[in-house]
Amino acid sequence: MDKNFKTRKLNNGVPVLMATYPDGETATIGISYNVGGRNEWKRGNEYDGISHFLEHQFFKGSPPLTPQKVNEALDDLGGLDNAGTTNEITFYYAKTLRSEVFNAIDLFDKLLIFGEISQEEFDKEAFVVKQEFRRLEDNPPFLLYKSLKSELFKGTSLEMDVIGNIDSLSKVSLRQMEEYRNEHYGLENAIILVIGNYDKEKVYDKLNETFGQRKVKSDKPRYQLTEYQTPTNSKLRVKIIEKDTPLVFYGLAIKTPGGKSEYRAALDILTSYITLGKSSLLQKQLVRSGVCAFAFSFTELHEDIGNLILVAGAPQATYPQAHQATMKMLHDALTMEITPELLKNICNRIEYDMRANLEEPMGMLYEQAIGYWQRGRFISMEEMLDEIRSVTIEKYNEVRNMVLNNLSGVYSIIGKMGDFKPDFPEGTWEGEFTLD
Amino acid sequence: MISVYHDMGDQHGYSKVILSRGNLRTVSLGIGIPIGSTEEKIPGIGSVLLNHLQRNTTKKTDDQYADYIDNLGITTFGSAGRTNLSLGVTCPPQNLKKALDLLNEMLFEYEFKEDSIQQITQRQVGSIQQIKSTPESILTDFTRWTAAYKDDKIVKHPLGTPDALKEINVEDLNHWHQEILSYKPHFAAVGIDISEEKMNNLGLDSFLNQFGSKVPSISPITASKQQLRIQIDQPPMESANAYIGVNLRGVDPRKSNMEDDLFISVLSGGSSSRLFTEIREKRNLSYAPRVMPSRFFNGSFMTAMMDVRPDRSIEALETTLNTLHDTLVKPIPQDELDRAIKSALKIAVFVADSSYSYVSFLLSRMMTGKEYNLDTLKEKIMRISTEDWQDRVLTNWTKENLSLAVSGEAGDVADKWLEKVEMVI
Repeated sequence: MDKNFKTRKLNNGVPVLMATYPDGETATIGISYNVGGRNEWKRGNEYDGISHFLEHQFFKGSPPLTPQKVNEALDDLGGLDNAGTTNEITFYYAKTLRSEVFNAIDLFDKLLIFGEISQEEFDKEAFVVKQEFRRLEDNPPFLLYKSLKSELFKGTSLEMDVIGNIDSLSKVSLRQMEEYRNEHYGLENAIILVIGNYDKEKVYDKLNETFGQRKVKSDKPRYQLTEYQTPTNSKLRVKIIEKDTPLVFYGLAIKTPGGKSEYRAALDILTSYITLGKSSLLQKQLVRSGVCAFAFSFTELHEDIGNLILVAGAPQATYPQAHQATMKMLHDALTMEITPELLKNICNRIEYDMRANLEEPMGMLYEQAIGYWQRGRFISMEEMLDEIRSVTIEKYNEVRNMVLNNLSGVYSIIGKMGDFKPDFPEGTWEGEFTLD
Repeated sequence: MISVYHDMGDQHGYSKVILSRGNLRTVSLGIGIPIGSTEEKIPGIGSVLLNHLQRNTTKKTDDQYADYIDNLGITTFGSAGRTNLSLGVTCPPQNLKKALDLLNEMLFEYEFKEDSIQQITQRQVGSIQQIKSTPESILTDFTRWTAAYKDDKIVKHPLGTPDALKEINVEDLNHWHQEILSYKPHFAAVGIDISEEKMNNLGLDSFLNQFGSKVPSISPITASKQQLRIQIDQPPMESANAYIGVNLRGVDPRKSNMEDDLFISVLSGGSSSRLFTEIREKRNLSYAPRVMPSRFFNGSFMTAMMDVRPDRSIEALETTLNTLHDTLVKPIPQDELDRAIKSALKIAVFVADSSYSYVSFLLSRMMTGKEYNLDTLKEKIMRISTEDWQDRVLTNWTKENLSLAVSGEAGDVADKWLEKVEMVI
C-alpha cells in the first residue's frame, strides 16, 4: 500500500486523487472531465471542436472576474497553468509553489465554467483557436497523427478531430457553446487531482468547502462506444497528405483492445517491446540503423478500444528503405518468440521508465487525469506494476496475435515519395496497400 | 532533507555541484564542456560525436550497450550546442555506481567505427531536413540566428550541414574527441541520497581528473554592430501562418544574472505577461506568442516570436515593438514586478521536480557563467525593486541590437520593418 497515493470522495461524491511528494516544493491541482471530441460526434458541423474551444473559455472566468484578472491570479500563484483536450477528456491544471495550493483551489473553484460567457470574449477566442488550428497545420508530425487517427476510426465517435476546423469554428454560436457546457461540464462528470507536497487533511477539507459544495447530477453524459474486432486480413489504406516537405513523414495506425479490456497490461508489454528503450525493436531497426531521422510509436487506449500509432521520417532517398525496415520491424514483433527472461527484462524496463516518469508530479497528473477514464478508477504505480508483472507469455502471445497477425489499418504519408509505392515487403504479411 | 555541496574549482569558476533531494526517485549526473559548433572545423561533428559516444564502447557492442543500459534502467542524454556540449546519465539510485562507470566508459573507452558514423550522419541529415519541414522550426533554429548575428560563426547550427556530415570519418572523430577531452568540464549530480563523499567514493574525482584543463577562448561576436537586420526564409512548402521573431541582442550572460530572467518574465513569464496580453488576449493575433531566450558562452539574445496570419503580421510586428519598448523604458508597477518575480522564481523551483531537469538547468547555467545556486538565485531575484528596474534592463536597449526574422509569407512586413522601428522608438 502506497501511503503517498490516496483516493477519496468529496461530500458530493466527486472522486479525488491525493498523491503526495514529500520534500517537493510544488503542488499541482488538476480537474479532468470525461468530455472531448467523441461527445461532438453527429451533432452537426458547428460542434466540431467545441470541447477544445470551451477549454479555452475556462481561463476567461465569469463576472466579476475578467480575463485579465484571471491571468493575474494564475500568475500570482507562481504557477504554470494549462489545459488539454483529447477524444474523451478535457483537463485543466495549475502547478504552483506549494505555499499557494489553497489559493489555487479557490481560483479553480471560481473558474469552473458555470458562469456567463461573454460574446466579446467568445468572438475573440474563436480567432485564437483558429490560429492554433493553422499552427498545427504547419506541423507535419501532428498532421500525420491527426490523419491516422481520424481515418482509422472513420464511422465511429473517435473519428472526430479534437480541434475542429476553420469552418466549424466560424459557425459555432455562443448559445450552442453554453448548451453544450451545461450538458457536459457538471462535477458528476469530473475528477479532481492534487499532487505534490501539501497537508492532505487540510487540502481535503478545503476541497470539500469549495468543490464539495457543488451539486452533482445523477446521470453523466455519454458518447457512443465502439468495440475492438480482430482483423481477418492484412490491408493498409493509404492516405496521402499533399505537402512538399523536404523530409518524408510517414506512419501507420492499427486498432488494439481498449483500456478496460483484460489485455491492457499485455498490450503495454507489446508496445514496450516495440518502442521502449535503446534496445527496443524500433530504436534498433529504425533509429540506430540510421534509416529514419526519427521514429516513435505509442499506444492510446480509450475505454472501449485502442490504437497503436507509429510515426517516422526519412529523407526522400532513403524513404523506400525506411518503409521496408518499418514493416519488417513490425513483422519481427509478431514472429520473434518472447522468452521468460526477455519478458522479465521488458517488465523491468517498464518499471524503470514508470518510476522516472512519475518522479515529476506532472507525469503523475497526466497519467491519472487520462488513465482514470480509461480504467474507471485511479490506480497506483505499484498496482500498475503488479498488473504488468502478472502477464504470462501465453497472454502476451494472445494479444500480439490479435493485433499483429493481420496488419490492418491506415498508412499516411506527407512529402515527396517519388515513384515508390508502399507495400508489404516479401516475407512479411500477405496483403495489400490500397490508395484511398 | 536537502544537502548542497559546491566546489568552486579554480580561478575560472568551474564548478562541481552535487545535490541530494528527498523528493526524487532517480539520480542524474552529467558533464558540460565549453566547446560547441562555433569552434568546429567540420560542421556538425560535435553532434555526431555525442551520438557515437552513446552507442558503443570498447567493451560493449551496439546491442550489448543498448541491452546493458535498458536492463539497468539507465538513460543517457547528450546535447550539442553552439558554445558547449553536455553528456550525462539518469539512473535508479541503486545503479549509481554502474551509471558513473558507464559515463566513464562512454568518454574514455570509446571505439569509433566507419559504419556507425555513416548511420549517425545519415540520421543527422534527416534531422536537418525535419527542421526544414516546419516553418516554425526554421525560424527558431536558423532564421532568428542569422538575423541577429549574420555571418558570425555563432550562426553555425550544431547539426552541421549535409555536405560536411558526409565527409566525417573515424580520424576526424578521434581528433575532435581529443579536443573535447582537453577542456576542463563542469559536473553536476542531483538525486536522492547522494553526497560529495559518496560520489568521490564511487570514483568521481578520478573520472574528472582525466580531462584536460583548457578553458574556452571563444572570440567576440563580430556582427554586434549590425543594425536592424532582416532575415527572411521561405520554407520549401506552403505554410498556413507566417512566423515572425523580433530579436533583441543582449549581453554576455556572465554579466547579467537576473536582469534578463526578470525581463523575460515580464514579457512572457505567464498568462498576464505583457506579450501574451497584448498579442493574444487583447488583439488575438497569435496562438503562441512567447519570448525565447538563447544564451551562449559570450553572448545572448532573446526573440519575441509568434505565429500570425500573413495579413495581420504588420499589426503583430508593431504591437511587439511597442511592447518591447514600453517594457524597457517605462516604470514597472509594483504588483506586476511581484508577479514577474514569482514567475522567475518558478523557473528556479520547478526544475527541482526531476533529477534530469535539475541537472540540465545546472549545466546550462554553469556553462554560461550564470548563477546556478537556487537559493542565491531566489534571493537575488527578490531583491530587484521597481526603482532599479530601468537601470538593469536598459543596458540591453539600443536600436542596433534589434533584428527581425521571418519564416513564411508575411505580407509587407519586411518593407515596414524600418518604418515601424522608427515610429516606435
